[in-house]
Amino acid sequence: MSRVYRLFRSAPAYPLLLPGMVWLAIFFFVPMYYLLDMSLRTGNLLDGFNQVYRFANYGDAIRQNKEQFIRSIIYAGSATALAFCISYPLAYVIAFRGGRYKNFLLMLVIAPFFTNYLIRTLAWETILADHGIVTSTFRSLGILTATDKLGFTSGQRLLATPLAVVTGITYNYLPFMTLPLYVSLEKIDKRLLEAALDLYANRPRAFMRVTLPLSLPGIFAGTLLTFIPAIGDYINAYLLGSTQTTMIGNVIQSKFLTFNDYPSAAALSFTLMAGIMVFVIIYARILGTEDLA
Amino acid sequence: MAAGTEVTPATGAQQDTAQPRKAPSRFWAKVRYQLLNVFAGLAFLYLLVPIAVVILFSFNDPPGRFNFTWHKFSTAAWQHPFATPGI
Repeated sequence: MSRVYRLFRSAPAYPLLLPGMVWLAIFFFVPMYYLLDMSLRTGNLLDGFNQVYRFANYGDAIRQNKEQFIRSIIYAGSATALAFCISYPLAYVIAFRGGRYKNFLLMLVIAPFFTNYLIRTLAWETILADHGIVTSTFRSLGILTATDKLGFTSGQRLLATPLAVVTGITYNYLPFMTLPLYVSLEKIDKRLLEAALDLYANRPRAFMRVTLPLSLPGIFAGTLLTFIPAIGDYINAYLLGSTQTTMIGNVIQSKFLTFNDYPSAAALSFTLMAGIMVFVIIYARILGTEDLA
Repeated sequence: MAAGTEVTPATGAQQDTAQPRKAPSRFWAKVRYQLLNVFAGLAFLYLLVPIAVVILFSFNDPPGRFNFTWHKFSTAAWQHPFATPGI
């Protein structure tokens, strides 16, 4: 009874959902339907793609691109972890020590967005170039020898290596990690920290018991906002990587645009989407952020 | 730091038994405090260096087709920004 009542009480709000719903329907569900439809077809661009409900498209797509899938997970995972390690102290400093420069510092975090995504990545190509300062410094310090051994780089160079790709991805998605972390750190009631210190917690303990748990929603949002676009990213692997660093996004891109193999590209896209969805659900369960899900 | 100041004994008398544990030296506390700021500074550097590179290389006169190595200062790219028609 009360459920029905609640449903009707919130009825005036439903028309407000209409614009969003219409947008989603036209620009998400309809393309999604066509993608799903395409993923089960066979054929080629000239003779057309015939609907034969070939579910083996999925098996083939996964089997042939297992390596790229695994690589994407590793790269996106490392980039997310790196972005977190860089962003958390950064967001912490801005939120707790920013003072009156808070807004200015936040603007600096968003500053990379003032430039085009492609241009930013191309700038990294310049920075990491073989005859650039960074590469020659790293080489003479012997860092490249160490990273070569670890498999992060190869042939005493930075460009066209996994390290370059992960650096690029980390860079491009860093603000997506920093901003949610900042928001969750900024709204922490400082009196809770004072209370913890008054109760004889030392600073590391106060951080572990107060600051970190209260910033969990930011960690959850930040890691998802970084990991999800990062795993499908192909610009960084395309510009900063080599044929040895292709990610699943590169495969989908070349299947769609170069080989015109729409069905297997669609199947790959759907597999990636399903994988991400499963990951997000598990992740949400583990982190248990009720006020976000 | 409020908790730390409260327990400092006011008198200079020897109170070995009730003495609270000695706080770590001021110097290292300061270093630890600044370490985080330095790290944040490096993070900002990471964020802004590519932007600086873009600006710097816009004044480059690239020797070939690629604008990857510094050749010499030029404002050629800035003089006719709309000369190249849209592709």
